[in-house]
Amino acid sequence: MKNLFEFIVEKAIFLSGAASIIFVVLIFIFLLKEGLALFGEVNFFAFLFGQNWYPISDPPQFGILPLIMGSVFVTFGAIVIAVPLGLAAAIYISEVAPHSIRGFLKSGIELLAAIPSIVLGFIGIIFLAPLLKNIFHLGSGLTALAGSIMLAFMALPTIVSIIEDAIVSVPRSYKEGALALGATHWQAIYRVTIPAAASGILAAVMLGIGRVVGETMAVLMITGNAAIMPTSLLQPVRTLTATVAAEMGEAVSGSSHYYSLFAIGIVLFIISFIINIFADIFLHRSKAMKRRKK
Amino acid sequence: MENNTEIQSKLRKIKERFFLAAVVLCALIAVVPLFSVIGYVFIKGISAVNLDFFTKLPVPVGDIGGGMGNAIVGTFILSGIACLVGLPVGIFGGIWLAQFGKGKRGFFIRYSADVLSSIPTIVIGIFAYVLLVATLKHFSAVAGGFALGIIMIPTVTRTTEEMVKMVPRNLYEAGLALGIPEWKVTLHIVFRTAWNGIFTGVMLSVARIMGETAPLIFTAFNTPYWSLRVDQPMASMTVTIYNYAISPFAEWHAQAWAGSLTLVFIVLSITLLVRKFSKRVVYT
Repeated sequence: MKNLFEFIVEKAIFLSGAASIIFVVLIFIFLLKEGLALFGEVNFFAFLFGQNWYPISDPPQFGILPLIMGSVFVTFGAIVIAVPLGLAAAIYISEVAPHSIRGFLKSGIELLAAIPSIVLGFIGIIFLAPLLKNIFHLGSGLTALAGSIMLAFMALPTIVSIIEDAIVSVPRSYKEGALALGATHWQAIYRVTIPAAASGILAAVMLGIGRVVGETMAVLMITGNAAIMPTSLLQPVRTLTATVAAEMGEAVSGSSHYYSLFAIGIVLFIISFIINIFADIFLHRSKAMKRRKK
Repeated sequence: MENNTEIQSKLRKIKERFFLAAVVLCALIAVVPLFSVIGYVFIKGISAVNLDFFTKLPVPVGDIGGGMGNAIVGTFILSGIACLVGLPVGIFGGIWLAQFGKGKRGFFIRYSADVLSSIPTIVIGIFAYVLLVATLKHFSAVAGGFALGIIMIPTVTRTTEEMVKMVPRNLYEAGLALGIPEWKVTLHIVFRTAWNGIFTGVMLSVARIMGETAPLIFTAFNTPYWSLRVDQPMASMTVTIYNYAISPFAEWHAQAWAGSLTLVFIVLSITLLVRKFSKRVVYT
């Protein structure tokens, strides 16, 4: 009797351990089950490379290229903004800042990662969009650029903490060696510390991209939501995530429109899976460096 | 010749100053807006925060007053359901990883936890929608809480694993030496010792899911009424803020700011309190 109980507890613990695997597989299966139904009616290539997203016109068109490009534009803009700033902030915190504000900044930035994206999206609508409208003389400030800026700030805490971690785990002797050879502080940081922390920085970039691609509410609120092929950051765009969020409620269950949203879900799943693989590779390299330090 | 080196050395110093100043400037550009977000939300929100806001129901456009009491309660209920889903699975999973997760199985589980945490939350939302909303034909708090629970699992699993791994091995061995079965040692000795750290991780992930919107918009949906029934749609602060924020009405915007302030306050308080609390954890 006692053995049976022990057996059950052990199995329950193992099953919980396997829960992550179970959920990842289940999510993928359910997405496939609903999403693949679309390809009975719509050609796979017409879906992935079609330039028109008119899901409710007659006949409907399910080309998600404008949505993919929308996500690419917003993500690209966000990363171009967030990575240099994040790198600078991480260098400042780990190498330049006086000890007294170092801890404050570090925990402050981590704290800011907890601010809900819905709040940042709201600030985007009220503060950022009108500002951009005036600066660039646009009809509306709700553009890819607004999304990029807001998402850059959303990704910054992640990027800063990971880069800071990577910089701190560079062996002290590297930098001391450079300084002993007569390098200035900046030369040592730029030529020695940063290259040595490169894999950690790349991991931060990948995780930042992951965070930005998957973000839904802020982009839904501030990118203008026009499903057209973007040509500049100053245009309204619509991302993959925003499309799912905006249209899931109105899509008739069992219609092609409904299935197409799950097909977008599959695309998102695969994108985040690939990003995660790269982030993992870079993180492992970065951790190998940490072990060497010890 | 000598002149040349002097110029070079001066140039070096100028370069040094310039780039370090650039770093400080960029760091300021990064950090200042992040912190001003809190100030901005406070200024915008504080004027609409009053007792009614916490106790009353939303009112239609045009009516004065009202609040989002139901949404505040709803957010806590949804988080509670999420904990029921995510905590047992996450904590047991972490314990398993720490104790037995050295081999290939452990690698796969850790890897899929990373994958699960990288899946966009909207995708987890549509998964919960298919599983619990499309099949039961109506929106429900359970579906929303379930989606949030899945989002918690990877974080809770990995924190639990780390905390359990920090428990000294000899505590575990001492338990075994007394003839206590392995699972009892794990639960009563190892888990209890690691509990403080695990609690920190749990609360941080609760703070995170409280701010989630995307997985709720077509699972828990929203309701303008008091509803404690978990098989019915339930209001949450995030979805309510969203609905108000995208409306063109000034009264609703004011409510949304008050909601944002309350939400930020709750989330940051949890994070801060837990951090302070967790600093006391010392393993010897």
